[in-house]
Amino acid sequence: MLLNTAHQAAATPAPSRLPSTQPAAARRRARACAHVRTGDLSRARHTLTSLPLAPGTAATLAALRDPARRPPTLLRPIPEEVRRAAAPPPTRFSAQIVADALRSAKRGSAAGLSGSTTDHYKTLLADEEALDLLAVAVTRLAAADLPAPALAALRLARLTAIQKPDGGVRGDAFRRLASRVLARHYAATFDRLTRPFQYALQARAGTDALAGLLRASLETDPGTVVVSIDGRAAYDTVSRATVLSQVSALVPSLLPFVQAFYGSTSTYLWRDELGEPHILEQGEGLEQGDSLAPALYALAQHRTLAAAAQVLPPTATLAAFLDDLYILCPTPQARSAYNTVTRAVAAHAGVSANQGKTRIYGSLPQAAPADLADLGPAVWCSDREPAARGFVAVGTPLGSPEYIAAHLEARLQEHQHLLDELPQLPDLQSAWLLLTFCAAPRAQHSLRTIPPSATTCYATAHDTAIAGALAALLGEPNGLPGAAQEWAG
Amino acid sequence: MGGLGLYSATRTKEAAYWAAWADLLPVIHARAPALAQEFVTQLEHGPAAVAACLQQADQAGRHLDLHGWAHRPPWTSLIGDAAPPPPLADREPAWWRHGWQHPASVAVTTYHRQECVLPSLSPTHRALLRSQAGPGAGAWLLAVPSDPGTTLPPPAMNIALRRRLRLPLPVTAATCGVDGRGHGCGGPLDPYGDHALACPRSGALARRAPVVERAWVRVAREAIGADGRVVPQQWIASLNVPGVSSTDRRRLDLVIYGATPLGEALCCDATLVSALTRGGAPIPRAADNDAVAITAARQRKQRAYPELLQRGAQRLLVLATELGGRWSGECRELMRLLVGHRARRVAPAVRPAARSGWLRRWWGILSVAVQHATALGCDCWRHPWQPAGDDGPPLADVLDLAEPAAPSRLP
Repeated sequence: MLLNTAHQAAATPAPSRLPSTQPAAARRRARACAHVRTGDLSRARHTLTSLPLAPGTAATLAALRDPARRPPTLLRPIPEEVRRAAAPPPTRFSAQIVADALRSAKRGSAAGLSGSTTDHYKTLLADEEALDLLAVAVTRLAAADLPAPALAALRLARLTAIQKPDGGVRGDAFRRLASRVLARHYAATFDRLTRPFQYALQARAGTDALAGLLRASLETDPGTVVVSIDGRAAYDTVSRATVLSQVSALVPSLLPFVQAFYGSTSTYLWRDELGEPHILEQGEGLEQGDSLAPALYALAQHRTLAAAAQVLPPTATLAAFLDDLYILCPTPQARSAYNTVTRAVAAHAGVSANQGKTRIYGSLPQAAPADLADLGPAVWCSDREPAARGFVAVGTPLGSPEYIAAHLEARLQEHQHLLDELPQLPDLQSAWLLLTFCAAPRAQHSLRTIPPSATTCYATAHDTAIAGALAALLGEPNGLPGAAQEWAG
Repeated sequence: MGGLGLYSATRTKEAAYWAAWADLLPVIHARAPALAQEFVTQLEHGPAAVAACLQQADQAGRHLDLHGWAHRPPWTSLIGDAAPPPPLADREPAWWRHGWQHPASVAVTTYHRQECVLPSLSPTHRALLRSQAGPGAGAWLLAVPSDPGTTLPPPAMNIALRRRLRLPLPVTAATCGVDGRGHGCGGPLDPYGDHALACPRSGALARRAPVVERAWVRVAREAIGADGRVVPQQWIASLNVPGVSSTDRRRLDLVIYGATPLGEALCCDATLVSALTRGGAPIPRAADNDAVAITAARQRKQRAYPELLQRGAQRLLVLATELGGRWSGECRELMRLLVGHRARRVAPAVRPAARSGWLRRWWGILSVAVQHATALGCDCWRHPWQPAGDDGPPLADVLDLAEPAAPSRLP
């Protein structure tokens, strides 16, 4: 029945929406307030500040079907021993872990093709027996112990085209729940298995740690450079054969679930602006909306990083934040380190480096070494004028004081967009919640990762902007008096 | 702490930077122990560290030492078997768990409040700031407007924020009682609402009292469900309290049956009191002590209901709240009882989260009711507060409140 419903949903054009008489900005603000009323402040902020979805045009469809970004077939065969691996005894999940995963899942997310949403499953939280039964169902799905047609139905997913051509994949809510449970259950295992390279899979301070490691290493030894490598469409192109081999070798009890969803070509549905459905096939890569995807990607990449680290000189340090790779090494070794790592990742994980985003930076101003010339003029950052001498690693600027100041100035302007929206919201309580939970803390990442001497002006400007936004919410055209600003803190 | 909880980036930037290094050292140590050890060695050298960023991390730590943090751990204790950050104290608006950042920022902010803000304020402002602090006092600042009980319409929200910041309120009558209703003492009204809220002849007391009572009734009914009973406006004469005459005309705001393990009836009197007089001056000792108005209210109520002070089949609970939002110890005790009672009716797998969710919801309802009552008392706004229903929302909605939205640390 589930499969039939999914097929029907795929074949039926969606009813076209009636045009609204409200201006788009007013609709967006009303939608943001509606998200606040459900407690989803993060989504409310995104509604106000993010780019709209990509248009439902033929060009978007062509971008989604670009075989370089989304290979439609399996490029590397899945090893036979992995396909034939004996099913391990299933892990029985408790009602507690299922309840925790369900409770923390976001509300209001779009339905998959079956029509079920997380909100439907959340009603089960009120009933002890229902929770126990749900835990049994999740256990069976985690072991892929379902009738073949049911598994086939759960594999179908809806694709949403965001402005980046990656697209977001919205699978069935029950499958997403099982993924969340597995990601929680194996979180510590994934973290342990992907050390010492991966910084993204532990609960706290991953970005801070990587930024601190890079900055302190560069400042401790001025002869060191950092090579920053970005994977091209990494999630959509990572080799499923490598993912499955790694899972089979390292976390065999996860294999049935991963094999069920990534063991063959995936089918996604995308609707154009007229509501007409289009089928997209994907043979490699992981789904952007899958809770397990970061861990699976890190596992697939880990073996290649371990192999590359064996070849790198002992003075080099290799670190990763998912597909963003960083190598700390002496300047003369930068090119060979770059070659070693990019070739290993391309060869084993199937992910090629995005050369346009590669950056190499050292804290001493110096001309580019000759062996980096063929990588392009944008790669070497240490020979630029001060305001451009640096690069951004995991959201943190590393570079000259002028570069960091310019970066922070750009951040302030970016934050101002949300602050400008708040006084125009139709509800003061919603605007206040967005100010206190979303706008005010936006400075935290920079304050935590950039030394205080470089953030003095930024912090002052941020405080002024927040006080200005509060004054605008209260209709105080001349700003808040000094005493009121003291009380606001 | 009595403010809005918008942490100053200027004041807390050292706390954020020090805390980031305290949080990240164990992460690096788990992956690159030699590098982590090298960084700690440099940090121990302080100003002599080779890396400027490590010099500044140590300098940020010394800044925290000078600004009120007596318990900063040494760098060497942060790697290896590092002690975790201390547990969260009572939450206030915008306090969230960020590893070491929470204790570091709270220490700096508390020091600033004690050493810089309070000494610079007039007695009136000091009393108000104290009245606005304490557990649950700022819950309305975090309340999600998901139902009428936790929603502050724009006029009420505006008044609440202005009162909290001591800004002039929207214009109203210039003289107490000149509104055609015959109330008031005829004295001049100030722009901050102090007179209107404290004057016993302005009618504010009668307008605001039922709002908080109704909020308590709703919270108690959501908690007790079918296991007990919540009776609003109970005649004391209708209770079999020894020493009370059948002609006694006193009424209790609400009586709760079935909430306590021993089964006694909780005889509750909800009262909303001001830390200021109608002249805008603090009541005696309120400028330099917390909860003075609450203590006075408790004594008044104990004198009003001496028969209920003898423990037995009933207990008197004085649910006193200061207009700024500070709750009495009895309010917090009742909340603990109600949350414990309600949580027993949900599946064990979600019980801790349900406890946290109900706590946040009910403090939100009560705190929003206090702000409604204050807005009504200020005479700038007349919309009644009407909570809907007694059953409360579905459990799944409450569980969403268990972990309040925390700001992202990602760029």
